[in-house]
Amino acid sequence: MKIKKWAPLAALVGATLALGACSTPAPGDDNPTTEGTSASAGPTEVRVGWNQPMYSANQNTDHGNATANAVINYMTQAGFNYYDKDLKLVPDTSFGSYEKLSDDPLQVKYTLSENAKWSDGTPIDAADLVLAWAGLSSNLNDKVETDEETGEVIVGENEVFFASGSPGTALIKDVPEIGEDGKSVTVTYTKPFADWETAFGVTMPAHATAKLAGLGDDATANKAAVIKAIQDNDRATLAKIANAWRTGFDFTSTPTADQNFASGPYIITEYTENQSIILEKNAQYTGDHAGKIDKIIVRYSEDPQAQVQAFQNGELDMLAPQATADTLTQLQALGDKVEIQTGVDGTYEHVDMVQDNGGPFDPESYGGDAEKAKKVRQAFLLTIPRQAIVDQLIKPLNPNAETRDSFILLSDDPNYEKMVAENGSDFYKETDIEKAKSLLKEAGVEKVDVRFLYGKSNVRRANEFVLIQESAAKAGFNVIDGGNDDWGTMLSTAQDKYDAALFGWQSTSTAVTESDANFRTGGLNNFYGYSNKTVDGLFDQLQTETDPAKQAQIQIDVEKHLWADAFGTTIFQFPAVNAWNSKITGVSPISISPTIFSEFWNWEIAG
Amino acid sequence: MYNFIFRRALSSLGVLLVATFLIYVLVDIAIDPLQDLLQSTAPNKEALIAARVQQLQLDVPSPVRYLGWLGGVAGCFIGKCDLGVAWTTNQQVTDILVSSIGVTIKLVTLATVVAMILGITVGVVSALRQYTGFDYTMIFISFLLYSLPSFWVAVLMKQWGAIGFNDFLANPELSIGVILLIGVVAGIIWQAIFSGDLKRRLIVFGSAFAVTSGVLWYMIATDWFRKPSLGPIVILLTGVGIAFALTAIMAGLRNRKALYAAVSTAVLIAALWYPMQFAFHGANAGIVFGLLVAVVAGGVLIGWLWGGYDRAVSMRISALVALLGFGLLFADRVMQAWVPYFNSSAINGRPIATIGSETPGLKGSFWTTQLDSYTHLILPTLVLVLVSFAAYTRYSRASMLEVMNQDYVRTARAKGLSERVVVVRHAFRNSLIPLATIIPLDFAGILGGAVITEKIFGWRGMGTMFLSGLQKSEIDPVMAYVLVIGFVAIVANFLADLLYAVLDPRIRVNA
Amino acid sequence: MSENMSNTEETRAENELELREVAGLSQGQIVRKRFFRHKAAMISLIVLAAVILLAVTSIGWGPLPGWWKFGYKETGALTLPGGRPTLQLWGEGGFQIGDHPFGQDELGRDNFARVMRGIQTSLTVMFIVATVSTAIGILIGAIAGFFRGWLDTLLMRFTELFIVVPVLITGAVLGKLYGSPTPVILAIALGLLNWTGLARLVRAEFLSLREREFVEAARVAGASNTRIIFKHMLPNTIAVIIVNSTLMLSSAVLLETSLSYLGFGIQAPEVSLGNLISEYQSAFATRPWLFWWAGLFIVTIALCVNFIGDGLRDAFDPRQRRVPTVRALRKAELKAQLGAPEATPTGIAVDTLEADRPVVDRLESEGDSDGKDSKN
Repeated sequence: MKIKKWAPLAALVGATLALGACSTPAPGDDNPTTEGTSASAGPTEVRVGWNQPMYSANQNTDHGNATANAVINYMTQAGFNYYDKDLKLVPDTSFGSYEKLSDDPLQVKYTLSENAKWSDGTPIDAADLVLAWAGLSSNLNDKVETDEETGEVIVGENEVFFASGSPGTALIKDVPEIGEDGKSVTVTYTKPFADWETAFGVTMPAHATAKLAGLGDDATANKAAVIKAIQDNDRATLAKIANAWRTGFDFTSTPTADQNFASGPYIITEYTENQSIILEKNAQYTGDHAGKIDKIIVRYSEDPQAQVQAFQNGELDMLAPQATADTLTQLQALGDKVEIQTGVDGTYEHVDMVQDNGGPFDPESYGGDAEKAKKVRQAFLLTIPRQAIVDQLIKPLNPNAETRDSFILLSDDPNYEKMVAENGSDFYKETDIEKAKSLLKEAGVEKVDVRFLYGKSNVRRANEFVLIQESAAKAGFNVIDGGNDDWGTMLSTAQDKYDAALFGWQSTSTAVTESDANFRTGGLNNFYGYSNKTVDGLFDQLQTETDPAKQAQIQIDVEKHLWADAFGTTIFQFPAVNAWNSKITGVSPISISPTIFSEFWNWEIAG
Repeated sequence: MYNFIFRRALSSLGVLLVATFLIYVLVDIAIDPLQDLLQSTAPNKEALIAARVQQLQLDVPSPVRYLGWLGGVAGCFIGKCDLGVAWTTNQQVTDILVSSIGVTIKLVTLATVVAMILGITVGVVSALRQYTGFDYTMIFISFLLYSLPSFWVAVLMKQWGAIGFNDFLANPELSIGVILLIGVVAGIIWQAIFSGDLKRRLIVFGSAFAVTSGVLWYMIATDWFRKPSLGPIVILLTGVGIAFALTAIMAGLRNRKALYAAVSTAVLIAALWYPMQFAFHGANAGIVFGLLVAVVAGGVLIGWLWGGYDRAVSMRISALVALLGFGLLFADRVMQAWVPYFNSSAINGRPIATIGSETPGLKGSFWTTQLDSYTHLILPTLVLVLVSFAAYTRYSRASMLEVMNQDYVRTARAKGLSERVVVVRHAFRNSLIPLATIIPLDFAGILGGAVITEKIFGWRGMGTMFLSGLQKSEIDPVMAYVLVIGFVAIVANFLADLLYAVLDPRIRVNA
Repeated sequence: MSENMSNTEETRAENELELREVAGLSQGQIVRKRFFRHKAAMISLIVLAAVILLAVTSIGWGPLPGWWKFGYKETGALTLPGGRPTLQLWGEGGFQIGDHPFGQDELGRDNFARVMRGIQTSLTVMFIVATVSTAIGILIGAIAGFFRGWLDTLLMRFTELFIVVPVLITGAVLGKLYGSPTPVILAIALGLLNWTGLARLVRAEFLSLREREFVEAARVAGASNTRIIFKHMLPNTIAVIIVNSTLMLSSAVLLETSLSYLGFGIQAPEVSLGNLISEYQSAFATRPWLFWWAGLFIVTIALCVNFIGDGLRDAFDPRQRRVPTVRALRKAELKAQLGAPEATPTGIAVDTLEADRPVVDRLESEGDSDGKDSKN
């Protein structure tokens, strides 16, 4: 009985063993294990940590204009020029060249290199530049109607809208003239424009845009169709093209072949949504910036601490986290496994004061006595412990940090030294409580209430506030905590709720016209009612000045007025921490986009 | 009953409508889509602002915009869902939702299952050993875990669980002192679980100590951490052990038929190891699942063949043994992928990951990708298990104590039933009833995503979708989250109420 | 499954003792007695009281002056490089506390004062949350459970409404409306969201209580609804309420911590334990004193509160006693046969009387108060 019951099992076991014996011998390692194809010293790769995932290959639209897109496009799209590590604009002649034909009217000729090709093999030519003009200039857009009563903007369904454009390219009113070889165009500005060098370039491939717009499959025909539509101002076709140009190149996972075009050394081969992008060499690229690394992988993670730990754990080779003093120390503790570069970022922290809200800094409060108001402002600025803030909050992150003493120029700008020497900022070099007190006495005011606006959840700003409050109190200022997470909106809409504001402006380029809106009377970012006719006049000159030396002089003149008028004060430039695995050489981060990716073609893995 | 369900569903729908409306209005107050523009230095700022106002209809009052949103949601009923667009990236919310639900489910299911099994086991044992050292220790540990902020745990886990463990793997050696110490700790834990008189405790302690340190020493000596594998022998031994344990708990070792069935299943599993190597070769998820079903069916068949007076029990036990045994076979196969994985350039000898859900660019067989996803899952899963395990321990401990005090348990004992039968048949099963009504409610919370865990480990699930929507001032992803979570929560509530009524006849349904 | 012999004896003696003790005491006295005997709860109570006392007296509270030399907002020079703590247990100079026992932050603020302030804030938040949500929970639960019918349905749907609202949204809305929420406002808001579990629980209690004889009797005697609810039924649910409110305290601390981490909680220059550890999470390896002290106090407070809750549960619930083992039962039987009258009666009588209360309630109490939302 017992034996009978065990029989089926014995049979089963026997059968399976027999089955095994009959088949190929030696299971285990060699036979079934064929995985790990990526093993062994194959292609070189570098893994870079970044905080925000890319979402559009077209960074020229309003919504695509983000660093997250710019850093990837920097590697996949070639351009006429780029910023080197000294923030000098360097032309990339292997892609194309440009020359200024005349100053007035400003005329520039762009010529593409013979070898410049998109990753599908289609040459990059005039059609792409003509499309770029349509996209960048906003001159083909349908007129945006504004409802008189509500101020509401009305854009119809099938209307042409590329992007809002920029004031520079908007000055190119006419369709660019195409050169005879079809590889060059000439653009003419209606007015001279200071920053013309960075204003124009290739955007998206014309043939691909046309394909996405549903105009056809053939590259050559498509290019012709785009040029024709733009030259003839064919509204119906333009609406489709504009739509494709604006939204067709948006993706958040591996792009389709119709969306994925590279003109630069790398091309996206895999994009795992929200996780990572893999860039591999673009076989069609023949320019000067061909990288030495086979694969660049960008991994996304928001948390700086998480990035640092991932770096420690070998999951990242390079990172540019929004570091704190502690994450920096943690990185430094890794010793010679890591190269760390501390430096500055394009954003600068500053304090501005409202001058038309009936508060302590408004001449109206002193019966229109502008001089008195200015003295109060100067007194307040003198109490701001700029050096202490830098020492306590910034130096732990950037040992070489100094106060930033210019409103307009980045501290690594070639003209910065000269600017600081001449602009009059040395008046505020030292925190001077005594001088502040005597200025207040001269103005005849004693207890001054200052409502102080800053971003509440930003720990560093909250700390700065604590230091400012303590220091200002010594001179008789009662600084009231107006910290608010809604500060960004309040700046421009609630001037009656604050008297001074602490925040940062970010520079995205070294363009000279960028600061215009901050200081001009009624300028978009001049929320404070600051008005100086001379400054306005200088900015008018600057707009149309194309000689760099003269531009620099005008900027210095502007700043002299700003500092003398006690417009506000600058405190420091944001510290940036870049770190990379020390076996990677040739990394040279810069302070503006693309930061750590800058000149990626020099990256190399040693040993 | 149907009437009840119908009325309940209708009112739930009403709740969802009101809730989404309120939240829509609240979120609209909380976010400011123009913020970045107001701070921008772009010279054409006004045009940009105007364009965005137009794009997002910011000039329309939020209740009116809500109607538009609701219209899109209503489209789901006719198969055309429109949950809006995440405007900063121009992504369809439905697309984001699909991917993030997937991520969240992957992340939390394993954690929940592990936490539940572990928590209930510890809770039940703790209740049976009430007011013993083990009970106090477990209460303390579970309260302690329950009192830890999860990001705290996550940061520490990364430091020691990933960076530390990977450093250990680079040179996996433990001093003899450490090995002995771990053995002592294991011994103490096991003797506390078994409890009993001093002799029994000493025996348990001794054997647990010997086995643990011995195995650990063997693992170190054979470089097991670098080249892990189980092999047919270990599978056979473990399988037989499982067979005995399961039989002891579920049927009692006196039920010989059940024991034979369980043991023969374990033997079969071990015998299958060799042919399985071929079956697993080039497998995919479908094949593996098919094999699993076949093996479990085999277990059921063995149980049936052995029969006996309680055939169903034998079948159940054998099926369970087969399931766990298959787990061993699977684990063994995954381990075989370890060495090439460990040495591949993408991993570089540091397998335990701290961010993301996969190693980008890693290509390999089904087994390699499985292994890769486990090395990424392990830390976040551990964190989630640690922080949620405590709750299950407490539910099940309280519930078990409650039941053990019931009259029917006394009656069962009075009848002279063995303690095993009393605990397993009468007490344990009944103690699960209240748990069954909690789990649906729990599930709703779980789907909500482990916001903090996701954030720290760089997983982009539901929680991240919600959070980043809030931070980037995108109302549509936030609302999609609210919609899904609200729906699940309400359904879960409903289910919990129903389960009360169905499982416990003492509750009357009234709604 | 066997028990140590002497242990069983002890158990038995204890049981008898317990029964004897209980005789002639009021419910409150029994509860107090039982609670005082719960060692872990008593220790926790003492520790918690000590922590509160330390936090309140050291840096003072409101108008009360404190004995500690630094305020939590005061900046100063760093005493030791990097702001390391001056607390020293051994080594050169032996034990010493020094000026900054918990160290200093980057602005030279005293970490001890900040942690103390953090404890004050966190405790305030925790008590307000628990008070507000308990009050609302009781009110809604009692009304729904007592009146049943359409009012019940309405209130329960209303409760579901609140289950759906994500806490984070409240944080964000508050941030918008109040700049950044003060601890009190934040706590009230959290309290307004956190009552759903308790309401469901009280409702379940009321549903079962209203069928009881004593309620019937009160009604026959002509008591008003208000009187029945507050005088007769509520005192009978007090156990569930107290236990759950206690547990709500610990989940409130963790909720505040989570919110701070996500940037929706209490913000600088206000200090809470949650924002201290979330701010210094990256400092755990480099300036551990900033991370660990605050964390230690969070864990201590949450742990104490949990144990106190556990003690209260045991004290209030007569059924949560030792589970008698087989052997203990047999012994009891034997003794009963031999004529030991104390052993049999009351204990079991209480059990059977209470047994008709639905099992679900208790469990639900656990389930809801353990509010998963705070721990993710």
